[in-house]
Amino acid sequence: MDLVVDLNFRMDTSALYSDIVLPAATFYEKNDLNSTDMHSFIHPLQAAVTPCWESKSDWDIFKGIAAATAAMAPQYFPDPVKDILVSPLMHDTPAELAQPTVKDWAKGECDLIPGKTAPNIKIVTRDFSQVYNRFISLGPNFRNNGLSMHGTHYDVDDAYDAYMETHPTEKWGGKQYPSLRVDKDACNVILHFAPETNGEMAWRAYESESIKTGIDHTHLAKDTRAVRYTFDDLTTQPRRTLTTPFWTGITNGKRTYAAYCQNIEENIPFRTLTGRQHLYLDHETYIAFGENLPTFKPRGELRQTRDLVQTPKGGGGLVLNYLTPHGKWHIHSTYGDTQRMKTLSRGCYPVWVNDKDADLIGIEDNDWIEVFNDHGVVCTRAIVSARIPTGICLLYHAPERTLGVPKSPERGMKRAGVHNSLTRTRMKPLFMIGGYGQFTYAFNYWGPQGVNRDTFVIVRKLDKVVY
Amino acid sequence: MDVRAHVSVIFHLDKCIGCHTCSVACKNVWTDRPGAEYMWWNNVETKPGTGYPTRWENQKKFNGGWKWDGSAKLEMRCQSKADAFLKLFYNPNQPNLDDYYEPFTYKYDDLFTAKLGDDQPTAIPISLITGEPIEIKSGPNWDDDLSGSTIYAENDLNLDNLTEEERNQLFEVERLTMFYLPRICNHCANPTCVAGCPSGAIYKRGEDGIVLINQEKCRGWRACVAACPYKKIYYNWKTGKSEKCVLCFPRLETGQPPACFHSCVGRIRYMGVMLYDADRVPDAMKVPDRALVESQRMAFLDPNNPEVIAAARANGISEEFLDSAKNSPAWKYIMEWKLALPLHIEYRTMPMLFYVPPLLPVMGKSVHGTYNHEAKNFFTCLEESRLPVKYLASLFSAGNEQIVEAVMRKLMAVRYYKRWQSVGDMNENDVDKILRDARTTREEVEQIYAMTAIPTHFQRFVLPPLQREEAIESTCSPEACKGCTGFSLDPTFNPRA
Repeated sequence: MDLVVDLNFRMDTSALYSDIVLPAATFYEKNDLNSTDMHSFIHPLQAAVTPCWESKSDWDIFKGIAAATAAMAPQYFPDPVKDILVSPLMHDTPAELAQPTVKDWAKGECDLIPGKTAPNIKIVTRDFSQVYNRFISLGPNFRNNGLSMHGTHYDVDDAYDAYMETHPTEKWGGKQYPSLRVDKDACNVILHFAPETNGEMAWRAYESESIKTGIDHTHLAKDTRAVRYTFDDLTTQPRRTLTTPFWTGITNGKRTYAAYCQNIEENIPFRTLTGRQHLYLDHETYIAFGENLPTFKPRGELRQTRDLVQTPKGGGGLVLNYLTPHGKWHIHSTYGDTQRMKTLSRGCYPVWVNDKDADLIGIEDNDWIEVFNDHGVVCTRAIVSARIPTGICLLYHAPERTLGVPKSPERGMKRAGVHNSLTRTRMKPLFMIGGYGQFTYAFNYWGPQGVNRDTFVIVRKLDKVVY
Repeated sequence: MDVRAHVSVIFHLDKCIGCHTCSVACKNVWTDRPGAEYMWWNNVETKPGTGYPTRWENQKKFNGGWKWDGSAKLEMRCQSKADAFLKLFYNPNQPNLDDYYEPFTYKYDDLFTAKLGDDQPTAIPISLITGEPIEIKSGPNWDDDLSGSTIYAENDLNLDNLTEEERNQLFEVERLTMFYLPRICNHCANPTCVAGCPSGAIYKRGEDGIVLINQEKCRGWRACVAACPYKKIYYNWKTGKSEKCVLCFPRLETGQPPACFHSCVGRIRYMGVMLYDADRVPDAMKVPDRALVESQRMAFLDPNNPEVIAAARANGISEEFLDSAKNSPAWKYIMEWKLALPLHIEYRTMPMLFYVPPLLPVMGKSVHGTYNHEAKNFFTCLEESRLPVKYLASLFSAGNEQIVEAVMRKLMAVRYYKRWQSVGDMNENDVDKILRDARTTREEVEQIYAMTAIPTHFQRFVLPPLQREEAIESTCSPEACKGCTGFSLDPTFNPRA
C-alpha cells in the first residue's frame, strides 16, 4: 500500500501503522445515525460537545478530502477519466441463478461472461473536479432510479422534488440538488427516503412487493403511511423502525420485532432458492464438503491444523488448544485500552489457563507467559482458573499491542503480537461460492466470512520482561 | 414510637450480570480525581472471592463494626475512645495500599512521541501515585470471574464454616459456580463510622438516612475507615479527608435515582422508603447472631398502619414521603415478601441495603446429568445445591440457614409457578403444593414475578420528594439557599456569614 490514511479517535495499532492519522470525532461529538439488530429503535448520535482539539466528524473529514481532491483535479485530472468498476454477483438480481455449478473461466472451463461466469464489469467515468460537489449533493441518479432492496423497488422522484422545496439545497452546473453538506442534512436525507422512517416509502415498497407476490401487503403500511421521522424527532424521543418489506419482522401495534414474521404471516417467499425455509443445499460444493444438510464437524486436531510444524515442541512449554472469544473488558478492540477498563480487569490482555495445566509448566496466576506457534507470538500474563477446562487456553479478542506488550525472546526480541498473531486466515471455501440462490453476495448477508480461528499454541513461562 | 424515614435499597442478585457498569458510572461521576483514584464507592465482587479491599470481611484483622457480649451495650470492635488513643500512631486495623491496589495508568504519550525505530512502541504501565513504571499485581476487581481459583475464591471467608467435603466440591470443575455481589455504602441505621469519628464530621441525614462526611469538619483521622466493617469509606490522600458513597444525593434531590442505579444494565436495583422505629435501634442489634435478621425486621414499621402514619406525621414526615413508603419496592422485598436480606448483619450496624440472594447458582444442581423438576424432591435440590445454603447464610443471615432457605423456597416457587403457567409441563396440584411449602400464594408469586421481571423505571425507583428547604431552614434561610441542590446541613454558602 502506498498510503494509509486512518480516521481514528485513538492512537491504536491501525493509527500507529498509518502514514496519516486524521483525528476523528467520537460518538458524542458528531451527528450520525446508527442502528442495531438488538432492538428496533434508531440511534441518533448527537453532538453534545464540540469535537475535542482538532478532531472532526467522519462526514467533515470525508468532505474535506473531497474538497482537496477537487481542488487538485485541474492539475492532475483536468478531464474526466474512464475507470473499470468490478462488482459482485448480487443478491436479489438475476445473478442469483448465474452459477449453479462451479466453473472457472480462467481455466477455460467456460467463457468469461460478466455478471454470469465472472463479476459484473462496468466502465464508469470519474470526474474528480466534481467530487466535492457530488459529495454535498444528493445526485440525479437517485432521483431517476429510485430505491431497491429485497427484490422490491419504488420511485422517489416526486418525493425528491418535494424535498427540495423545504430543505437546504446545493446549486452547481446549472442544477439544484438536496444538500448533504452538513452531517444532520445527510441524516435527514436518509430518514426521508428510507421506508423504515418514511411511511410513504414503506407503502410504496409494499406496493412493489404486492406485484411480485400477487397478494396485497399494503395493509402493513396503511396506518403508518403518513409517518415522517426527522433527525430532531429521533432526538426528542426514541422511534422504532416502521414495518417494511426491507425487513422480515412486523412491528405494527407495538409488536416486538421477530425475524420472518412477514414470510410466515404474509406468505412473502423466503429469499432462498426455493422461497421456503431451506435446509437441504444441492450445490455441488456443499455436497462435496458433506454439508448439504446441517452437519456436526468436530474441532480440528493438532495434526490437521498444522500450527506447530516449524515450532520445536518441548523447552518447558505445554501444547494447548487456543480460543479467542468475545471479551468482557472491551468490544473487539475498542475501550480495551482505556485506563478504566484496564483497572477493572488485569491491566493487560491476559491469557486464561487451567490451574492443573498451569501446574505442569510452573505457572502461577499473574505470571508472565509467552504463547507461540508457527504463526506468531503473544507475551502477556496468565490468569489461572479452574473455570477453564484442561487442554485449552483463551485470549479475549481483540487486544492492542499499544499497551504494555513486551518483546518476545522467542522471536528475537521483537515486540510480541496480539490474539490474531497466533491464528491464521483459513477461508472456508463454502463461504466463497456465489451466484446461486441464497448463496449470492449482499453486504452483511452473504460473503467470505467466519474464519475459524481455533488453533494450537505452546505456552511457557516468560522469565524476564523487556519492553 | 420514634418514626424515621429511610431511603433504602434492594439489589436483586439473580439479575446481576457482573458488567461493572455501576462501578464505571460511579467512578466517572464521583471519584475521577487525584487522591480518589483507588476509591470505588461502588464495586462488584465475584463470589466466592476475596473482594475489595482484599478480604475486607476479615474482621479479625480490620476489626470493623460492633460487637455484643450479651450485655446492655454494643461496643465498637475498634476506634472506641480508648482504642483510638492507643492506635494513634500505628493502627493495624487500617487497610493499606496492599489491601487496596496501587492505581496505575499507561504512558499513552509514548505512542505519539516514540522515536522512529525498528519496532512498534508500546505504552508501559506507570503508577498513578509515583509516576514510575509499575508491575501490576493487583486491582479493585482482581479476582473477577475467578470462582474456582485456589488463590482467590478459596480464601473467601464465608467458606470457613463449610466442611472439607463441601469446600472441595466447590472447586470441582463440574460444580464450579459463582455470582456477583455489587456493593455500595449500606447507609446503616447504626453506623460505626459515625460512632467512631472523633471530629463529629460524619452524620446521618434526618430526612432520608443518607450517611455523609462533612468535608469541612473531617480532620482525616481515618477512624471511620477502620470502623466501617464494609470498608466503604476511603481516605483521600490529596485532600487529607475521608470520602464515601453519597447515594448521589444531588440526584435524589432532583428526582433522579443514583448514577449506579440508573445505569444498571440488569436493572437489579430498587430504591424506596422504609419507615423504622428509632427507639428500637440499636437494641435491635443486641440479640444472638441467628436472630439478627428477624430483629432488624422488627424495627421496621408498616407504612399502612394508621398508628405508624400518625406517629410519622407527628415526627414531621411529609404526606408525600408516606405515599412513597406505601409504594416502596423496598418494603415489598424486605417485609411483605421477606426475600431481601442484609449483608453481614453480624457486624450489627443495621445495614439498610438489602440483597435478594441468587437462586441460579443454587438451582443449577444436576443429578446424574439431569436437572430434576419433580415436586416430591423439589427441595432436596436446595439441600444438595451447587452453592451451599450455608455459604449464602454466612453472607446474608449471620449464619441462619433457615432464613436463606425460606427465601430460596419462595424464589423457586415463583420459577415453578411461572413454568407451569408458560410451559405447562407440571401438574397443577404439585405447583400448589410447592407454593404452600414455600409459604406463598399465587397472588404473591405474580407480584414477585412482576416486580422482578418486568418492572418499569418508576416501579423500581419510588423516590420520595426530598424537601431540602426543611433541613436547610435549621441553619440558614431557605430563600437565600434556593436552588442549592446538594447542600448539607452546613452549606458552604452561608448568608449569615
